[in-house]
Amino acid sequence: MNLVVEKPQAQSKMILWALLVASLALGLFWQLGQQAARTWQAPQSIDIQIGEDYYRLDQSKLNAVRGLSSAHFNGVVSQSKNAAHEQITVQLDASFRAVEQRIPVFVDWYYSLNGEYSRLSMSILSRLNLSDEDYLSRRAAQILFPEQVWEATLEQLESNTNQRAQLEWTNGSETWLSTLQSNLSGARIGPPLEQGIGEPQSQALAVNSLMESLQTLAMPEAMTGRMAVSGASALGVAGPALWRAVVARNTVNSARLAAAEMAAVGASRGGSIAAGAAICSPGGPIAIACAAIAGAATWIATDWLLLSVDEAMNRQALEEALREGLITLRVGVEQELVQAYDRQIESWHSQSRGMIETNFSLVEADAEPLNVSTEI
Amino acid sequence: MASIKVVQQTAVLLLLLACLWLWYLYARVATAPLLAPFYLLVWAAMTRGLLLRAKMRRHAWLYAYLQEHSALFKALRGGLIMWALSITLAALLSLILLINLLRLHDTFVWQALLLLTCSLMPIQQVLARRLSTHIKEYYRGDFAWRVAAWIGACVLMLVLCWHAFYQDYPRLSSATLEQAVWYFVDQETARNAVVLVLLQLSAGLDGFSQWLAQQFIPAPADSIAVVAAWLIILLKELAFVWSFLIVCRGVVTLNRPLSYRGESL
Repeated sequence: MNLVVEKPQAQSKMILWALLVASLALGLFWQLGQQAARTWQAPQSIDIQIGEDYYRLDQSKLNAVRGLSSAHFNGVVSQSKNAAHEQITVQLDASFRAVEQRIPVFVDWYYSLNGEYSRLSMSILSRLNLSDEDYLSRRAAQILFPEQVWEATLEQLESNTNQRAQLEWTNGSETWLSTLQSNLSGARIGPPLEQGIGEPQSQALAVNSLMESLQTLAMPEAMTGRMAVSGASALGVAGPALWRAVVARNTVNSARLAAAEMAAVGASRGGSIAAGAAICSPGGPIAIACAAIAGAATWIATDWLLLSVDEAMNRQALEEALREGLITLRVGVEQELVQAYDRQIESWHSQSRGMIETNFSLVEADAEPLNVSTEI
Repeated sequence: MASIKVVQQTAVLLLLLACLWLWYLYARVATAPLLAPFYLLVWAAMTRGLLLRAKMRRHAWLYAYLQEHSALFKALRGGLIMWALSITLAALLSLILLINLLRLHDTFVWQALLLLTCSLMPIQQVLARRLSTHIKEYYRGDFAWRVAAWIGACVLMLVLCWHAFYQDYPRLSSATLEQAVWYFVDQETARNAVVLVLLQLSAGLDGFSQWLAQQFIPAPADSIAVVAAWLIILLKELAFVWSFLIVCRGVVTLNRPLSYRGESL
């Protein structure tokens, strides 16, 4: 009896289990084709290439890199400025030493009859509005700052200073790259496959190219600025500026000397004419010509004598005034050049920093898919 | 009743496969509190399967060599060392199984696993009946399982190798080893760091084998590199199939004591 009862129960149990297994198998079989594995979206990152090595940076590492870069380039800017200042000082020392050596030449001309009569002629011409009043300034520029020499000197200064600044920048960049490499050693990844092989991989930001971009973008502006041949150091400005400094320092002395000189010259003119007339009065018809020659000779002799006296009394003071004016001019030129280079280097640094921050930014990365990868 | 047992065991195996499939679906986004218990369960099941296998082999060896009343039976029945080896091997095989499952993106292979899961117990049942006149009763069930597992493993290996053979691979002949390995490693993502590292290791091995196989193209069919690459693929698939069958064995014998002839383990 039990056997009869158990058999249908066992069969129904068997059928239930079989149905369960079949439905489970079919359900699983159906779902296998329907579902896909859930994928984890990793945090945004950026791949960078330094030399032949590749690195992957997440947000925290990016922040660290930007902080490191900022601190490093601040140092580079400081070094570049110092190098530029040093170069400017060295070059200006040499240039103004050469100018200083030409001061006696100018003073010789100033106390020569040639110089005297040139000044007088130009003074008369300027009163007749036939010439400008800056003859002495121009003459000072011609003698103390000879055009070819001075311009060549300034170009040399500019070229050397640019080279020094660029050298500092290049060294600083290379140091930056090596510092980056050592700091990012833990974030190194493998190199990607070449384009077109396998699934596309994220394109790395080539830091070397970035550095080249930084240099090629920023350097020409500094190079083409022609900072040294403009401003206070310009050829047409340096000479007059120096003479103005001399005149400003010797304003009282000059007025006094000019008045005394004019009085003495006026007296000598009258004296020389009278002396010429007295010498030639017995000469008959040629007395006039004789008087003119004798007067001119006396005139020149008197002028020479006065000039000699003036030179003996004032030459040293004029030379000192010129030297001090030169120092003042040099300080002005140096300040102007230093400020100009500082501005250029700051501008350069500002551009570089902007470029680095843009390239090492995940937010900006979306805007520039060519350089930066946002895909993991 | 024997048939019901087969069906019940098949249902258990199907549940195991469903759990493993859920692992495949969600392990990349799961956190450690979910991943660790799952791993521990698979580890425990696999330890059980390995222990059963080791115990059976030891038992057979003892009865083959020792006198029936020898005191060495107790001493050599298997103790801590057997446990330690089984646990260690199970830990490794569990990792291999779970990581390989995570990278098993082909539905066709999952369907093959499903077919294997459904057919293992019926095959074992048929073999046990057929071998009843040849195999001792103590070992019959295990022996039948082993034969069924061998059959299933061979079929699954063929499927996996065929699948590997016809799969599309990136052209790595011009790439360096580092590029190839990184290409495969870079494809893997996971929320959990440990899972990610294991996935990347497995992917790196794939990259290495692919690179090796493509380095000397055009190469003769018996090129050492090609043979080595295929050997790596074969061993990898073998480890996967072996670990899958062991965990299946551990699960279907849950209601069985870990002893033979009353010798408790």
